[in-house]
Amino acid sequence: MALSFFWNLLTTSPADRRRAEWGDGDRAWAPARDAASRRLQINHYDYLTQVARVAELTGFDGLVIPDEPDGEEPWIVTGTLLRETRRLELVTAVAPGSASGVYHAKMASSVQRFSGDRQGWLIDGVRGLSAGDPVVPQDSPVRTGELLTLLEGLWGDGPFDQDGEHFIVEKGGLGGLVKGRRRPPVWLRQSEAPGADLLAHAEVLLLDEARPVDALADLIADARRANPSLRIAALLPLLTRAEERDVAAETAYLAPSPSTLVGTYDTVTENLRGFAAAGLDIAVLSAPDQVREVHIAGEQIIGRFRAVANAA
Amino acid sequence: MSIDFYWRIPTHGCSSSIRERSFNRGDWSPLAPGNQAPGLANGEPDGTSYLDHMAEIARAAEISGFVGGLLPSFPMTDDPWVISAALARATKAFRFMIAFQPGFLDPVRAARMSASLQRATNGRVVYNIITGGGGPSQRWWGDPFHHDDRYGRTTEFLDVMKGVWKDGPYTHKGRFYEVENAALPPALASEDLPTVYFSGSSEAALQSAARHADYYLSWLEPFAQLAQKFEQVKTRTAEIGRGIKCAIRVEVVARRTEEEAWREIELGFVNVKAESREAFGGRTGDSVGVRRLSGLGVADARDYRDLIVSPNVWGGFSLLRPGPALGIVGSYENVAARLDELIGLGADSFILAATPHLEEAYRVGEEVLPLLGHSAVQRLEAAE
Repeated sequence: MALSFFWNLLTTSPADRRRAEWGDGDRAWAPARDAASRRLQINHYDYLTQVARVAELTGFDGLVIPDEPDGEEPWIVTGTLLRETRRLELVTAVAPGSASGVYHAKMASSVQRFSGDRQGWLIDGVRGLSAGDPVVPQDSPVRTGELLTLLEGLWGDGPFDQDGEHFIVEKGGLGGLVKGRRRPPVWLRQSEAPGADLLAHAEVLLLDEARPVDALADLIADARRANPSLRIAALLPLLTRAEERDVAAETAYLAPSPSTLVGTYDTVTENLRGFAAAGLDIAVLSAPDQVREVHIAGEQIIGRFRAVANAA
Repeated sequence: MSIDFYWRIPTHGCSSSIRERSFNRGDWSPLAPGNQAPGLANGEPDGTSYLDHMAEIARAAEISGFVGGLLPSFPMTDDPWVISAALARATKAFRFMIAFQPGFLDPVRAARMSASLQRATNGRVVYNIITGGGGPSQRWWGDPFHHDDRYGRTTEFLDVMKGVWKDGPYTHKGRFYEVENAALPPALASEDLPTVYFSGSSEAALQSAARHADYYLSWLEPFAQLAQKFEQVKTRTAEIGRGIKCAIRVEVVARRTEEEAWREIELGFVNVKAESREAFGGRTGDSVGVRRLSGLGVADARDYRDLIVSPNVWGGFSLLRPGPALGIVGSYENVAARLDELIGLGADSFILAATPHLEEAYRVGEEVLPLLGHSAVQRLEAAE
C-alpha cells in the first residue's frame, strides 16, 4: 500500500497571506532605503515558490493548487512553478466555466510540454455568478462531462468535432503539441457527487469532506465500481507535533476544524496507515504557516511512513 | 516623447536563419544536422524544453534594451499565459505582451489571471487583444461567433474585466456576459490594469479600439496607407474624448550593408517551394488585415526583387515564415531611417522581430536602435 503525499498549496491563510507583501505601512522595520528595491525584487510568489520547493525537498509527490476566490489564480501559480520544481506533480484547479474547453486544453498542452507531463486537473464544477459563471449546479455535470470528452478528443491528431451545449469544436486537435505527452489526469471532488459517467473520465477522486475512517472503505468500494482504476485521494488538514502536550497546546491555540488530522507524529502516521489500508492512494495534506508545516509533515510524517514501509 | 521597442518571442519554434523556412529550434523537428533539439541528450529527455530557449530569447531582449516582447497565440503555438507565468521569474524587466482573444477566457478569470500575473511579475503584463482571424480557425478554437459579433463581444469583455478588477463588486448582464457582485480580492485588485495593445482593421475593430485600446497595433502596411489608418484611429478616438497611441509590428533584416541584407532575402526566396508561393493567395479567414495584405501579387513573383514595395520594404516575408507579408530590409542605417520615418508618420511603439530571434535581439538592439533619434528611443540607460 504505497501512499502518495501531496501538499495543498493555500494562498489565503492568514499566516501565509502577508509574506512578501509590501502594502503601505507594512514592515515598518525595513530600512527605508531598501523599501523600493525590495518591492521590485521580492513578491508573494517568492514565498509561494518556496513552499513548493520545500515540499519537493521534503519528499512530497505533488501539489494541489486550489482555486480560492480570495487567492491567487491557479493557472498562474502553476506556471510560475514549472521552472521552480523538478519532480512534483502539479494539480491545477480548473473551473470548466472560466475558459473555452479548447483553451483549457491548449494551456495544459504547454504546461505538459514545459514540465515533462507533471500537470493534473482538479475540476471545480460550478463557480457562481460572482465568478461570471451563469451555469446552475444541476447543469454542471453535463458541462464537466463535455469538457473531459473534449480534452480527450483534442489530445491527439484529430480532427475532433464536438457540438455540445457548453462547448463546440470543429476540426480540432492539438496534434504535434501533445504528441507523446500525457493528458492531464483528472481529479474530481467527492463533494460534487460525481456520477458514474463522470468518474469514468477521471483518474482520481478527491474526498474533500470530513469522513469517519470506517466509512472510507465503503466509499472507496462504491467509487471503484464506477471506475476500477480510479485512485482515491483525501484532503487532510493536519496538526501534528512531537508530543501530546505540544499537540494540546497547538490545538488550544489554533482551534482546528473537526476534519483536521490531529495528533502526535506517531498517531498521525498510524492514522494514515489505516487510511491506506482502507484503500486511500493519495493524502493531500494542508496547514497554514506552510514552510514550517511542510517541513514537519515531510520530515516527521512522510519520513515515518516511508521508513516503516521500506523496512517492511 | 519616448518610443517603446518590444521584441517578439517565437512561440512555435525558431529557425537559425531566415534562409530556411523550417523551425530547427524547438522540439518540433527531429535531431538532424543543424537542428537544436531541446529536451534530448543522447536521445533521452534531459529536463529542458523549448521554454528554456524562449527564456534565453526574453533575456537577450531585456539585455539588449527591449522593454518586453510579444507572445503570439495560434493553434500550434505554446500558450502565452503559461509562458509568461513560467518566465516571470527568469526575467527581471521584460514585459510580457500576451496575445489573446476574448473567446478564450471569461472576463472574471481573465482579470484574476492578469492580476495574479501582475503580482508575480511586479506589473509587467501587457495585452495584445485580438478579435480578428475568424473562419475555420475560429471554430478550431471552439468559438462560434461571427466577425462583427466578436467585436461587440470584445468591447463587452473589456468592460466587464475592467469593472470586476477596478470597480468591484461589479454586476453586469449583457449580451455575452453575466456577473453578479464580482470582485478581485484586495491584493489582486490593487494591481494596475495592463496596457492594452489592440489589433484589427475592420470598422467594428476600430470602434472597439477607440473605446478600450491604449495602443492601436498594426502590421506594417505600405507607409501612406498606414499613416492614413493611424490618422483615422486617432480621429475616431478623439471623437469620444480619449487618446490613443499607435504601434507597428514588423520583422526586419538588418545587416552592415544593403547587399548583405538583401542577400539573406534572396537566399530565403530561392528556398521557397513553388507550392508555398501558390498557397499564399489562398488564405482563409475573414480578417480584413489579412485581405489587405494578400493583394500584393506575391503568388506571381519569380524574383525576390518583384516584391520590393518601396525602399527597404519587402513584401515576401510571409513566404519565409508564417505571418505578415511586409518587412524592412537593409543596412543598419537604412532600417533605422525607415523606423524613424514611421515614427514621423505616427508610430509610438514597435514590436520588432528578426530570425534567429535570440542572436538578432542583440544585433538590432546594438546596431539599429542606437541610430534612431536619441530622444525618440526609450532605452534602459535613458531611464537610469
